Amino acid sequence: MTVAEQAAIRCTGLRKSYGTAEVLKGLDLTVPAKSVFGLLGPNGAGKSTTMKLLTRQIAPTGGQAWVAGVPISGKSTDVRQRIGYLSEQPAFYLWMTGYEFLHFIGELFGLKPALLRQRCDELFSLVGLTGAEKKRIGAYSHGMRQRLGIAQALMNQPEVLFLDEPVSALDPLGRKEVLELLAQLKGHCTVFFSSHILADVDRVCDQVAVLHHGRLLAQASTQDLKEHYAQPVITIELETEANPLTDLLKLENYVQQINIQGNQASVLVTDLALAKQRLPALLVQSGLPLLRYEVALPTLEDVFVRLVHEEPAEAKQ
Amino acid sequence: MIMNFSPFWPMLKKELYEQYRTYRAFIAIVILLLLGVSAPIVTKLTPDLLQSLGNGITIVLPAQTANDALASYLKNMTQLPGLMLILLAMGCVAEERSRGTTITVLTKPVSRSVFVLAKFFAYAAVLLVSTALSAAAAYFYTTQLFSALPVTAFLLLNLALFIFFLLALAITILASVLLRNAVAAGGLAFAGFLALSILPGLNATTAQALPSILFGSERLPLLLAGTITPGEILWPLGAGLGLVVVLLLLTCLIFQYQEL
Repeated sequence: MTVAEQAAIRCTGLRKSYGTAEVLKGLDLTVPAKSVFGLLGPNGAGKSTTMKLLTRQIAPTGGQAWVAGVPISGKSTDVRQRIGYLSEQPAFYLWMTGYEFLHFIGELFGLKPALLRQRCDELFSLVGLTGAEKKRIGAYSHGMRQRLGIAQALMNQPEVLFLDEPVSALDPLGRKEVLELLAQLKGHCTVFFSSHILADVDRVCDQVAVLHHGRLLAQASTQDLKEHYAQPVITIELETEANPLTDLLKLENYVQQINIQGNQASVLVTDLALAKQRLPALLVQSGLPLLRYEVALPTLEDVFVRLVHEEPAEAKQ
Repeated sequence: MIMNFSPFWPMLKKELYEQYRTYRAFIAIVILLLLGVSAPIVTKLTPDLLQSLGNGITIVLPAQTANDALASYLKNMTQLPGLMLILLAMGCVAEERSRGTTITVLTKPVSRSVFVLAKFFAYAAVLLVSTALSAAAAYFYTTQLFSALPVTAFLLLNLALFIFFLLALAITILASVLLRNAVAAGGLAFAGFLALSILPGLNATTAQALPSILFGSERLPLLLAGTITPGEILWPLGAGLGLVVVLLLLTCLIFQYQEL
């Protein structure tokens, strides 16, 4: 078995250009099977282009990619038989009922009638739409349509499920429901999920890749990324204005940057262990009226901001 | 590109169901049926209508015949149904692309050719039923009000009409693939339909290759009299069908290389 067959998705030097504009600049990516993988990046980073290439909506300008071991440009086997896809703005035939739509999708995959009925019932139950099967899709709410979109993407029990910004257009409750649904899929299939909402990715993904200006900036588990890229921040809140902290901390060699906002200071440190040892003592000695002292846990957002800001200027061109 | 035709039947079923649910099939059947019924009736009533509108002036018209009713039927059927077809089908691909349903369907194992062909055959099926009903009505009323028309000639003329509709349909679907906006696609299809209607009058060679030549003043009397040669019938019908196939192949090829 080759590496391409073992990985759920593998891209080598994948490129896409529109005229002279290169939107994907040689993407090398390996997505482990059965993982929930987040593709991160600001708008225009190349996330949707990557999704479109991997689901055969568009053809690459260069490079190659394999999905479930099948080359995306393969002539003998159609990768679409083995994947599920939900676009950023899922579109449906609004004159159909939810059941008619799922039934139609199942027929496209060639499912036999008995299996198809059973699969439709299972999916309506999984996405929490039981009872809405006979309602016209035109009368579905936004959240219901998103869940129906996930159901149609799961019809063929895909090996790889592609979800393009699946929660970005939903309200907080809808987002929570969809993320919980994605968490349920963990271990059943590989979920390849693009988003610019970092908290959501942090919540459900095992691994992430950060894309910017069509290039891969980093790929690792969320934990590894946080440990490697996020710098620790200590938050200090006083009863009075926090300006005296600038003078107090400016000579400490482990302090890289201090940001003051009213009675609160965010202290970016280079050596967390040393800071934890010396900073509390320093604050006590100063006699400043302390309200809160907190070592902030690094978030994926910290990592993302740092990666995107550190990207070399030549890479942006 | 893989040409897997197994999703063709579910796609065709969906297209037919869509035509039923969105009243497209109903509109096509009613319009064509009305045209079929009205041609012989209006032909029969025309002398009386003109007489009543003449304000005392005596208008003498030759007695209307079954051939006049047939000419009226053919004239009706080569004008309004083409425009109706353009309005019904101009968004069949363009609208799906702008709404995004093409992405939903074409990320499943459905080839783009199947996507286009299912649409063509669904509209063709509705046109076949509509044309058959219209022809049956026209034949019935013509026989009742005038005299019986020669059956073979009448069937051949309706076959030619059906192929003429298929040409208009193929042009409309091609326009709908070429342009993302349904209205613009309708405009382009209308220009194509005009060319289809006008070109035979401008160029004799082009006229030979289109089924509409059978409706013209030269061949229609020969066809009705049964003195036309088989070649004069088969060539325009065969060439018309060939043109439909060429247009469909071109449409599939263009759609194959388009981004969704």
